[in-house]
Amino acid sequence: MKRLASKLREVVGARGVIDDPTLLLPYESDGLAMMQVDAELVVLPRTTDEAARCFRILHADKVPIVARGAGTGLAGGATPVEGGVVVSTARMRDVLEVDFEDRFARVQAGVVNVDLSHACGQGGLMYAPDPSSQMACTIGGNVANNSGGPHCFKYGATTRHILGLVLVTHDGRVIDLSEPVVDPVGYDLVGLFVGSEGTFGLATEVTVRLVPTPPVVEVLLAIFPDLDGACDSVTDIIAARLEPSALEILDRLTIEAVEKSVFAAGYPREAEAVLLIEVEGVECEVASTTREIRAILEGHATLEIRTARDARERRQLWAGRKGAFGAMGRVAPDLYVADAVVPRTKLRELVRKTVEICAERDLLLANVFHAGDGNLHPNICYDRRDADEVKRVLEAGHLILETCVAAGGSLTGEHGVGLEKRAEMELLFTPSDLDTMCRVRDVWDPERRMNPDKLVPLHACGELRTMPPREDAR
Amino acid sequence: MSDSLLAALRDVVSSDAVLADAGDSTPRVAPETDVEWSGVLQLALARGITCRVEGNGTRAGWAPDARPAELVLSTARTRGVVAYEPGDGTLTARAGTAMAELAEVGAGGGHHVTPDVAHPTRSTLGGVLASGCSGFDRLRYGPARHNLLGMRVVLADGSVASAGGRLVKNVTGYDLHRLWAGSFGRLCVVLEASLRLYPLPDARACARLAYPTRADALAAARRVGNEPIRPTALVVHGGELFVFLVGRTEVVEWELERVRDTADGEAVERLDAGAERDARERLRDFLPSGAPSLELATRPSRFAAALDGVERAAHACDVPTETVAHPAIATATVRLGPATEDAYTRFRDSLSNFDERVTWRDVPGAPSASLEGATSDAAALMRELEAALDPTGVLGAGGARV
Repeated sequence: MKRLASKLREVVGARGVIDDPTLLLPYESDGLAMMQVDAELVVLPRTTDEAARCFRILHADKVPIVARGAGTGLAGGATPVEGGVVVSTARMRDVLEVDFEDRFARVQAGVVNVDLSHACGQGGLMYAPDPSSQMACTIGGNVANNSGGPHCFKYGATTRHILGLVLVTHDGRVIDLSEPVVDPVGYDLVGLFVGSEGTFGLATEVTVRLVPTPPVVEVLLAIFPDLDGACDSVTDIIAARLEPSALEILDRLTIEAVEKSVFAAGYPREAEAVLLIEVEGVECEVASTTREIRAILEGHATLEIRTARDARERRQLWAGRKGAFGAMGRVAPDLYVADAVVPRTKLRELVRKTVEICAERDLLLANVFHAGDGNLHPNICYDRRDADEVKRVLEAGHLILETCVAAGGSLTGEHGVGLEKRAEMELLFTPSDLDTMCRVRDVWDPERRMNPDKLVPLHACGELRTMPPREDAR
Repeated sequence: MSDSLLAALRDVVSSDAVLADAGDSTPRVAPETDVEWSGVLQLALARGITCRVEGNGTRAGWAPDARPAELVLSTARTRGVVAYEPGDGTLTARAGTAMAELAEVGAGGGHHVTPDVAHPTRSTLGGVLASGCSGFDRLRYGPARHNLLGMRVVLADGSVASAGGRLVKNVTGYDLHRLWAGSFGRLCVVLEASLRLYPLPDARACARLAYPTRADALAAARRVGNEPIRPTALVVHGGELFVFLVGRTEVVEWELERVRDTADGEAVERLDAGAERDARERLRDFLPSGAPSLELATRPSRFAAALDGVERAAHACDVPTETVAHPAIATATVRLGPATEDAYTRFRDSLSNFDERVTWRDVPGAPSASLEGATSDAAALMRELEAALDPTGVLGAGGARV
């Protein structure tokens, strides 16, 4: 590694390489702290060219590469691999271009999500995907994970907002897919790359679509005596084909944690659940949508329905939601954030099931989730120093995923598969599905050095298998 | 070869699924089940037969055969809605289902099915997705690929594979369905796809604004596009601007007022329901299936100049044109009228170094669905993807883009 570090320093300078064991500590995991691997070397290129030159050096020595944005991922996608090098985009922070007329921006991969919105806000535009970690997470990381956020209910996940990419492949080739016109030339490589969790290459520049900021925004807080009522309200709002921009549920434990924290939003502590609803659009649209949503809420025995009076109150209510994960630090030293998706017709049933699964294992569960998208986040509070508790957490996490998949759901709505859910991929996909993924992965990275061991179960990328459908298949 | 092929095909599909003559002496087979599809592809692989995939052929000329097809694979019997979940706003259907049928099913449960493509009674879901086309309603709902939740396909070796799912939010595994959409049957045969649906609007309206010139209409479209309204389409045809609005009744009325405010003194005609439908269908379907055309795609700020450039070049070569333009998304479909082969050739040549993206469709000799504009590394990657998913070129006839 010393020789490698020296070669890499020639490209990125002395400050662009970290090999001091103390300074490497923050890189031993991402947000999934229970899965840690010592990082041996971190390199921080500043440009696409530097990244490509670094990749060529690593290619020559057949060194595995793990790309890392801000390390806010929650599935172990940025966990280092033994004998590998972490390539961080932390020094790629320039907003390269904002085109207000054609409504796009071109940024380096390390630009922080919220900084992009600030950069385009003055022109009445915004970048819509807003993960809860948006104060820290990077656009490149969002691309890798196809990240979501509360407002993806209306605007869709990251993939809908990416117009182009500049990529560096495992061997240091630069592929420019950045022309911001409406459809891809040839196959949709950009659409394929988004969500590939660093296994296809490193995105160094990203061209994103910007959307106009809404003229009117209203935020409602519906307060419930039980979690069922909040879930059923969301199911009914979806079934009524209403179109708010966000529908978020927080349960009692989350509310308590938030209210004790710096993110205190004024959520009532006596509530068993609150439903945060944002409606946006033009004035008459917001008024009529809000009216119909209120009628649905009132049919579900809400304790109270509050409307934020001004922008300050709206910000406060959202601060509570977006700070919820951080606030959970008051409850336990560690937080396991599960991330499953379920059909929106089955919210109540599956949220109940997560509560049961955790109660049976004597685990403390807080639910805070993107209810409008059916994207559950059962947050299990634990202490990683307690081996038995860690075991129960992982068991509960697996059971929750199994239950959701059995009900027609999926393994991840926005955090990705990473290290955490590799094994569960076989719950959702057939060997043929996984084999096809491996074939495509091998095109991008035939040596499997890009974020190895992530996303696809290891044995799935073995010999090519052809699985003819069963005779009883339709 | 044909007799033995037909006999072998009848061993893996029912007899009535095999047609000896598809009108051009190419055998055609229409498998129905996954097992049949798998069997046919395995047979083609074993015999080294080159296949072309076909829906209803409405966009067949967008990507002509790269090499002659020895067998046509039709989705005609792979039909039907698999699941419509009104409470979840999703719909899953088999590839050969007509878009009009999907729209009808969705409307029954209060949902709008996007993309609203041209010729919906003849366009199949699989064909629409394979051709990468989007709908008339793209401005509001986005390109078709953005509302594609997942796909099930059969690959060239007969294996059946899925990606994505039926959920409105899902990032599990690679988005292979994004790769398969727009691949013109070169990477796989689409068997089934799931779509995200939208609320069926309470109201529809269309404002028609007439201007002396197309340039005026395009300028008006820019003004309307900067308003806080969400039309399904902003269409310029000649000197006319059509603004199609959908949504809640009160919102549509409010948006119409905003359109009037931007009209700069010009008369704004509100089309009644029948006229709105007629205008929408006329503009959506203005290009007959198989008619020579080109698709222009650029950025909004360059759109007017780019469109002028295309039409100037056409007229200089004596190629008549009729254009339906969507300035807010900076695309235009330019229908090419009757002209001599030499005129077409000169026109194509004159745009060979054009700065904007031009895609030729159903134009004899033109490089349809080509990779012009892709970097060499990107093109190489695409070729490698083809080789990975179809190493022997079983699907090599159908609409190769690379």
